[in-house]
Amino acid sequence: MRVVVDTRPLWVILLSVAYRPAAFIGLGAIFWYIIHLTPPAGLTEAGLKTIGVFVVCLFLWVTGLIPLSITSLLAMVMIPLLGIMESKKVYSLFGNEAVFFILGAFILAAAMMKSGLSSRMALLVLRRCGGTPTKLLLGVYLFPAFLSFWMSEHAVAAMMFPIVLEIAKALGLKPMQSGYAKSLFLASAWGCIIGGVATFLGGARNPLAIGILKESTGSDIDFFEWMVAVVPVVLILLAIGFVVILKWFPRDIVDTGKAAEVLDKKNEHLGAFSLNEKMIGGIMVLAIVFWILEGKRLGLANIAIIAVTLLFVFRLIRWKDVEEYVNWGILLMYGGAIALGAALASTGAAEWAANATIGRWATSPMALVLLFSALSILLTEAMSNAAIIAILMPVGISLSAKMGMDPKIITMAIAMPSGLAYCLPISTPATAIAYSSGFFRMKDLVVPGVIMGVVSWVVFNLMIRIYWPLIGHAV
Amino acid sequence: MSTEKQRKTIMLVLSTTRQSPVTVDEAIVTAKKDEAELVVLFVNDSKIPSMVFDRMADYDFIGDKPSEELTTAIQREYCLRGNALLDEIEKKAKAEGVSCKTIIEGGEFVETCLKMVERYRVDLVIMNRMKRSAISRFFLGSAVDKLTANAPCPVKVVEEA
Repeated sequence: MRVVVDTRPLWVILLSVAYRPAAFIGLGAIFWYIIHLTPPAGLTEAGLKTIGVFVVCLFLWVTGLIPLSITSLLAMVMIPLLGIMESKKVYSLFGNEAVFFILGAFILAAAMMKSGLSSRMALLVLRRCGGTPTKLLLGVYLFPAFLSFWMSEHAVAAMMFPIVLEIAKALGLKPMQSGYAKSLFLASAWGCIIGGVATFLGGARNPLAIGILKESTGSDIDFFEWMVAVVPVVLILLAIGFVVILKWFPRDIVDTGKAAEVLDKKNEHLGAFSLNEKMIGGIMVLAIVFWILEGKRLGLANIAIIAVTLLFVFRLIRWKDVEEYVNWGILLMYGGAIALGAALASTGAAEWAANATIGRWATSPMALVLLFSALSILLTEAMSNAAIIAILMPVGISLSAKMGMDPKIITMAIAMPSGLAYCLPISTPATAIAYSSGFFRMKDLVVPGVIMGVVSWVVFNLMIRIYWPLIGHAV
Repeated sequence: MSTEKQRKTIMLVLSTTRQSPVTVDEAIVTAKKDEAELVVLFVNDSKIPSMVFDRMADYDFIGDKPSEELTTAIQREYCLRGNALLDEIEKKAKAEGVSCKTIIEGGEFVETCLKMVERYRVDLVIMNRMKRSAISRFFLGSAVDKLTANAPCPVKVVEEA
């Protein structure tokens, strides 16, 4: 067996080996110290312990030393063990409506992917977008954006990747050299990212935010209400995003005929539009209609689970496919995050933390919105957006209550920007997938990404100021 | 049968992230000058997509199956590119009258290189050193330094411009 000698300095090697145990020991020590402090003014003993749990989760979510879902489970266990809340109550929060809505949405998306319906739709739409490089680019940008309104943006990005790759190869575009290739992959990624914030279906972060809102305040945002507030922002961002891509990357081809040929071939390969696909599409459309029109009355989770049941009644999907296509860990993460949020709210720890930290700078409701949306859009470049929701929501809701603000506003101000990560491959799966194509370098991503991040923040806050008062969400 | 090597063997090392044309030219020129056989190794570095997707699997990414399918698609693409690059180099080498053999292997970069150096009884390895920050090199190590320290033959490093 070969032994490969590590040539780094010894202390660097020791650090790379020892950092994990050191981090856990250090974290344990910090936790122990916090919970044994004398509670400061305005904070109960239960609140102090909850802050300790929150600090542990914050550290683990940010560093990713253990999977996000395990951190959340840890929170669920620590809360009753520390006497913060009864086990029964904590575990009942796991069965939150948001968790079951996410589960249903994941399974519906799994059915779309497994049946090939989403790929077929992509191929059909893109085939019609040929003709000129700009039209094709627009198709590669807008179709994933539209699909991300209705299913997980990450699933859409994964589905689009082989199609965009085939297009790039058919057009003879050179990796790292072709501006048009770079624009194709980035357009696909940005379409998913921007489209994914439009509804509750594009990313599980939005239902998580609603779940925390409901548990903390009893308030709710329904499917249609979210769309009315966010879709106009999304449309503006899509328009600006396209202009940025067009201006940033030169179009170095003229004819996209070969792309049309490859799309036709892939479409032929899929075969005829099956009854399976039609029925899955039909159930998906019905679910969306019911979510929009009857979501408040019937409950989002109830509609989702009924739609899922229909998939099995008509044998449109097997349980094995569901197991393989759904990321189960994220359900654990969300259950735990909601439980932690509830503990922070009920013990007053969120209010205390809000006043002790961000509260000093948030001197008005609009300042609060500006601050939290900025934090959300910055942090999401380096962290899971679910972790951002879990961290910022309790503090944001508490501060908004102090200012007499509608908590729905701060919820949307945190949740929506948390999905807009453009700059780094680690920021979001859509970008990671595009980057792994090998068609562009980091610098091709970072600079337009920063531009888009800043523009997104500005547009979002302008819309809050100008448009949201018209729909009953005045700040 | 004689087990003595008749000819010097030079190995040019390339990978998914190391494809410097300057290094390719240097390897061909050196092989021609030394009348050596040129073995071109392309390492399809498995660390790259798994690094990205292992992290993504922890977020609200999709399930195992689509993640696996995506990783496979990306690895396949890297392999295709590797093969295309090797064909190009082989043609170039043959045009210069250099005997050339090409290999594509998947796996961890340094381990794979050392394995191939041993298998082909390489006399000289030629590779490029990528431009990186000193901090990154200090903390994450350098594949070039690792290979140089562990290879049983000299390693010629071509600095990236």
